[in-house]
Amino acid sequence: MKFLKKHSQYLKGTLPESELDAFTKEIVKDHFEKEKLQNKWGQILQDEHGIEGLTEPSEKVASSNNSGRIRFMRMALSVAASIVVLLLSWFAYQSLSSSPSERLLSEELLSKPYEAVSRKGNDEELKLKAIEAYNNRSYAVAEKYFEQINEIDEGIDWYFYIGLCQLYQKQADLAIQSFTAILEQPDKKYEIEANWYLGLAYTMNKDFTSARKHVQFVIDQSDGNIGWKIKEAKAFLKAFTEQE
Amino acid sequence: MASNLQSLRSDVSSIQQLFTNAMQQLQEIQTDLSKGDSDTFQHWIELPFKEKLGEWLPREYPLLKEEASDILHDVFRKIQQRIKKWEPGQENLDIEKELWSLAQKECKLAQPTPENRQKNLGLSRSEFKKLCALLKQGEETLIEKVYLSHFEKCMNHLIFKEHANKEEAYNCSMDALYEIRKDLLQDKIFYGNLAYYFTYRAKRKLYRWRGRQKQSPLPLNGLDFEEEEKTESDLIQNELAELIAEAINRLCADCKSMIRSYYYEEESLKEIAEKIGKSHAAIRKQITRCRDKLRKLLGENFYEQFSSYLNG
Repeated sequence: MKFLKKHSQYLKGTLPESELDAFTKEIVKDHFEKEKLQNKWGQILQDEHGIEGLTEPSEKVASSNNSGRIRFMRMALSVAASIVVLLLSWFAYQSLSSSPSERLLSEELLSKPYEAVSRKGNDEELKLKAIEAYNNRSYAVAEKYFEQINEIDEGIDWYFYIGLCQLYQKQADLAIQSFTAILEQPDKKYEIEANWYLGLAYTMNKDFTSARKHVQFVIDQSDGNIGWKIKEAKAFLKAFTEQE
Repeated sequence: MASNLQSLRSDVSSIQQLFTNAMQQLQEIQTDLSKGDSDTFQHWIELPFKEKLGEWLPREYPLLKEEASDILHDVFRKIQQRIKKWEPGQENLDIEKELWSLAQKECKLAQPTPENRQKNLGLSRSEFKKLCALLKQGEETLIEKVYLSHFEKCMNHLIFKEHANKEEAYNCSMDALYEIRKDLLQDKIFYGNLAYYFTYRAKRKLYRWRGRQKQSPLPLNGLDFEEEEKTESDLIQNELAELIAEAINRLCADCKSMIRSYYYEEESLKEIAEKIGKSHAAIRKQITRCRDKLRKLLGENFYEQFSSYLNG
């Protein structure tokens, strides 16, 4: 193989100095060409298909076969462990939260979450990432993004979404703090929503008295049977009553 | 009577000689064909059958008139590959029968049916050929719009069927796509089942990555595609490319950036010096140092991996 012989000469240093640069150029071309194209494709995948690469293309070839296998086994083990933990938590949760309102809460948290839409500056990358992560139910990731956005452009919208992310991560105390803070704001645009989610957060904490108060607020704001979450709120109230 | 017998013997001997010569010639043709000799192929296979098939195709499939010569081209390439793969001891290859059957199959594939489109990333054969031609001219629609739209499916196949993690699935699909692009540019990919072929290449990458390739070659039987056979040289080039990539990735960030700027982006020493704020001479020195480091890293595995080829 002629090209292998040339490589061998290159490595042994027997290639004339005049050819060294030209040969280096030739051998690195494919790698950088690949890197350039894959970076471009990665961007298209992210922008148009919502697929994110987890490593830079240049980093991945370096991983050896063994480390790949070990990583694969570790991943498999961690996935298996996570499934076991999730199943155990689910069973534990089911056995402990047998009250009607808590069952309603489980259903509510699994149903379609509050839709995140950017109220302003929709074109900003960070906001899009946050909303995308939120809509994909990656609440921990979304929360970090919303916090970053809030640092740059503080506003009630971001506090609201941070509260939602906390609630969906079952961090009831934090969610209660966030939604209570929202209700204390002069801007009342999230008043009904914040009350509803406070109701859910208190139910999660088994503080049904506080939960009832906030759920009742949602019903009071409605016009008979018409209103946001009115049906669900009534179901919760009925459940609270049954529990008493 | 005796002279008649002698004449008969002489005739039989001539016939035997002719037969021996013919058998010898046939054997030579077979050897040349199996070696992939294109002149022999053209003389004994392509020319005699091209006319027959060329007349038959547009008659049977009128819609394909414009594509006929292109279809024939693919048919002959495929039959050439089958001949190359054929080994003595295997069942005889009926070339004429194979040719007709391939031509029919190729014509069916060329029909823009929903099934054909579904298997081929939504493309008909003629659309695929057009996009391939555009790719060669630098227009990347085939990759950026067609293949990337199928990327997630390819990843999901690796995740759900091969139990790859997301990172492995993404990286292997990316690498497969890069290789597919290279093959498309060299006309090495046939229309047939482009969607599965993408997944297949990604799967092969995954197996290689996990170091399982040798133990478990991927079966191709029963699938609607054929792939251009890789030569030994192609395989070595691929391994070499991986080795080079590994060596480049082991360079420090400064060296990597220096090698990229100078050797790939072809920036001059002056431009790099201005960008970094160092002297021309310092940059030259640094580039030489980085180049030597790259050579050293490359040399660490090169001889171990390729010694058999170098000694042979």
